[in-house]
Amino acid sequence: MKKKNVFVEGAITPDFIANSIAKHQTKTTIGAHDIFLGQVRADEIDGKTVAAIEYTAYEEMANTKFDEIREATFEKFDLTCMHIYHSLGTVKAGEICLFVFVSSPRRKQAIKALEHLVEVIKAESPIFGKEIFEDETHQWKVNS
Amino acid sequence: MLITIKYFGMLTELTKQHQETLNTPDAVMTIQDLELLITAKYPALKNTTYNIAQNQKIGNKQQQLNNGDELAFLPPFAGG
Repeated sequence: MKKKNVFVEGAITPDFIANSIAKHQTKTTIGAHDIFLGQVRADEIDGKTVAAIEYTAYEEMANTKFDEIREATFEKFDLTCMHIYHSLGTVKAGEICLFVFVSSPRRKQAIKALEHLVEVIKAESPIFGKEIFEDETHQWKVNS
Repeated sequence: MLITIKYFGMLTELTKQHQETLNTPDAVMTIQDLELLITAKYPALKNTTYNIAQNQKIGNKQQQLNNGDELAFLPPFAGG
């Protein structure tokens, strides 16, 4: 199977997301889409505010892992399509860093598959985030 | 053996490295042996949390090393 590249440089734009939705209008066996968008939060930590997150990844391992996740999710749920995009590099607070898009003939499978996918992506993909504060100091993010 | 070692996230700051290749002594046979070598070289790693992937798979530290392996030291994940 050809490896897909999940990573995009910088934030995922609303235009990119809108185009992805538009591309599925020809696939008329689909009856339900579900979309998850991860957005960078301006957390306040010890009086300092997060201005951006700089993402890095062990890209080869992550792309292999995403293939495995995709394959396992297709086996588990009745899905027509599945797309995963994650940012690398700097994403400012308020911008989108993760876009997960699943499509199915029926809504229940789409909703269940999406929740499963987002949890697995967060737990298993070797992606690292440096939270950059407004004063340009930083700390390393850990998923909770 | 020649082993390539990669560091990610905060570990790049603690080791001041992204990648290095080590020609390991014969006594270094398992992932755990290599980990001891690396933590001796970079003591700051001892106080931090990480997993080690061998050729992109996180596994048992008793696994044997092979010439040409790629080992990656991975701090906690933070995707999404």
